[in-house]
Amino acid sequence: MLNFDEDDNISFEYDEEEEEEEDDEEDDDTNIEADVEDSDDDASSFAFESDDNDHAENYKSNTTSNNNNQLDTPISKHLRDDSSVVGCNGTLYLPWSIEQFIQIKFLDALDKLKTFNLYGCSDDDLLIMLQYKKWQQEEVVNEFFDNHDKFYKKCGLLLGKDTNNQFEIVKNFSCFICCEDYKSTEVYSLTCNHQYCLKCYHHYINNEINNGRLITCIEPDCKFVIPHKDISHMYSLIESKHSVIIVEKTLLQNPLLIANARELINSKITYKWCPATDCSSFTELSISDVSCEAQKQSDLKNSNDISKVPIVGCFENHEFCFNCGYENHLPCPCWIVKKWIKKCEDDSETANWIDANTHTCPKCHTSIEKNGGCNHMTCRKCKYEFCWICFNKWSEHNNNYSCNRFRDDQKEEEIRRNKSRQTLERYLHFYKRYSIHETSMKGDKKTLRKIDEVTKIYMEDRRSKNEINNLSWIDIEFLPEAMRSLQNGRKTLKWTYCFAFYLASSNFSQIFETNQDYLNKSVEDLSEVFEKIMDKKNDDKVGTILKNKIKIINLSELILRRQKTLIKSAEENLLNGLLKFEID
Amino acid sequence: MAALPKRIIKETERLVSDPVPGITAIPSEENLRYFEVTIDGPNSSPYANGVFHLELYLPDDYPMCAPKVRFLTKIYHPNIDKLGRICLDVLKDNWSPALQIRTILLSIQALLGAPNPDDPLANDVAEDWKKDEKKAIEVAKEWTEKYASKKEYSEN
Ligand SMILES: [Zn+2]
Ligand SMILES: [Zn+2]
Ligand SMILES: [Zn+2]
Ligand SMILES: [Zn+2]
Ligand SMILES: [Zn+2]
Ligand SMILES: [Zn+2]
Repeated sequence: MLNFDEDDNISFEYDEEEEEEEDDEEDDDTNIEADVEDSDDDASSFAFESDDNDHAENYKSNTTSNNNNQLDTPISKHLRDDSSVVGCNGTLYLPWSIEQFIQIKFLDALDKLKTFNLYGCSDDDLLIMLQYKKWQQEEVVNEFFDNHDKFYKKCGLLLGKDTNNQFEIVKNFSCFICCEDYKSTEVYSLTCNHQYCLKCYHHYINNEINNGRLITCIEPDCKFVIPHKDISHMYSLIESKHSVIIVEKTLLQNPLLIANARELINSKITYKWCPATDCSSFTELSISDVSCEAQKQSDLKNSNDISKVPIVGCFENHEFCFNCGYENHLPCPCWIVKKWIKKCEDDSETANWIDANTHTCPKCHTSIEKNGGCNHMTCRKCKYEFCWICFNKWSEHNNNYSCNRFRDDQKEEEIRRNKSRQTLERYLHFYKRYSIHETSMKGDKKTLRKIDEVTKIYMEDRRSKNEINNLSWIDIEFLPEAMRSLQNGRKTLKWTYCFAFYLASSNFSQIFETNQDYLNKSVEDLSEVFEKIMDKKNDDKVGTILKNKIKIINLSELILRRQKTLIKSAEENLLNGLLKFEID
Repeated sequence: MAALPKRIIKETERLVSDPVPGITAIPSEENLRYFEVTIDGPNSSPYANGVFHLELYLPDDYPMCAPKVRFLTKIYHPNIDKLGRICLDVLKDNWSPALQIRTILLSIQALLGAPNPDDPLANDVAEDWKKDEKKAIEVAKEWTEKYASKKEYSEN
């Protein structure tokens, strides 16, 4: 039996002197936070930039880091070494971002091709030739020297003459596509001089771009190809209509190159997109032998050996399973995950029913909205403290965190109920916990994002006041690690309920449940610490973070330890047959 | 319903005021994006003397996306399947927003005049066509008489 030290009886440190204050004042505080929270797009993040610095540079850094995980320390990730990363159970992989892919597979090829000095070819031409030849620059060179007339024609380019692609403003223009008669409008045409209004061209390209192929002139049978740069320019022009600033898209942000990269990534089985909703990065499996890999993957389909589940990480450090494409679902084997997800989809109606019924205080029945991820609830009205999951008094949880188990407490009552009802309730018991942790993950994320922003603002503030001595990044370096550990811990916790649902009851299933209890406790504890830091009433948030530094670090390490123990023990006991799944 | 784009209004006007010989396209009263279409079988083809009914729908993305067209009249043709769907490049990959309802209908009429069993949609018909073209043409004629004669349709 595995035992944990009953360590850290954690008390939370922040001054709660001004416990009860008027609501109006709180609101002032939270308005700022709300703004911060919504600032995912570049437009609103302008608000945090100092005016004195040069705007151009600020803007650049803003747009490139746009997709990056806010929880990470701002380390530049654009440098890349080609050595694979080893995943938590030995899987070799390479995390990629789209920009990186475009840079390495497309733009580096362009740079190489440029060194060949292909006579009369502009960068626009070279990019088109490269994409036509699927970015094999040797093949471009070969075909070019083999028969450049023919090659040029195949690529939709004009040999020997300068291209005459034009964005121009034309008076009294009737567009053949939209049939509008414009007094004056922007028009685009290629060397063929087939003119259409910019709106139609943009609409057309937007439609064509999805298949990632080169795009020709709108005119049927006209083979002239639109250069990548013109596509960038067109998108910039259209987008600038909605804002004051015109920002020319770089080739890294080129819509056609992005679409083409997506196509290439989708078409290869060694690439897989990260399943996280706000993530656009992907991962490449480093394998030497594809057929061997296929065998391995099909073996995995029914295996209980969770040490073989290929957990990989993406560019933003999200862990996921390369086999089934879901997030890191350990301790569950892939086939259990598949079964569970199917079941949840089939039973989503019943699951919705509970959701709708659990939003009131168990004591005074005031409706309660859950904001953060912590499941330790305190009713605003009657101050009753309870557990969001089992609705029991919170104090009953402290020594023995036992709300995970499906106890046959009301046994006698249940005997009276019919069997199908029992199975449904059993399912609901586990599903509810599974889905609450899923929701809590989102709540945690929200809180963590706020903390991230608060510390960032604080840092900016310090910098402008030149009080470098007081606090630096080093002082809060522990935060991202702790945040990640909370998120990953809760993810594992979530999947333990799927695991437990299919688990046959035995002495060893009790060990699993004990491990689950421990993990649950430390996850909730850390979640609560973070949530309290962001409490509206706390006006020294950064101070509170520092005060609780040791505790946060301890809890975060505790989560990691307990998570590892749980998974390791499940892995061993599944392998030696002490844990078994029971499928109806 | 959203206002009808100018492009669709103009095309519709022209289809009515300047119709293509052998082709009619009338917009439905309830939905101006839905057209009832007839195409006369080309004279030198097995579909001669037949009148074929089709439906044509302009999706929201039109003209960026091709119109959706389908035969309603049963027809024996290697590039048209049992459900009346048509295998025609300009309705798929080779669609261009510069094409029109008019050009699409002309292409379909041309397809009736020149069946292409090497790019089949209805595999069994294409097989028959390649095996015994004479016989296939006979069947096409029979079907035309049976399902596409002017009299037949007006009775229904
Ligand atoms: Zn136009
Ligand atoms: Zn053209
Ligand atoms: Zn990711
Ligand atoms: Zn999996
Ligand atoms: Zn209450
Ligand atoms: Zn509980």
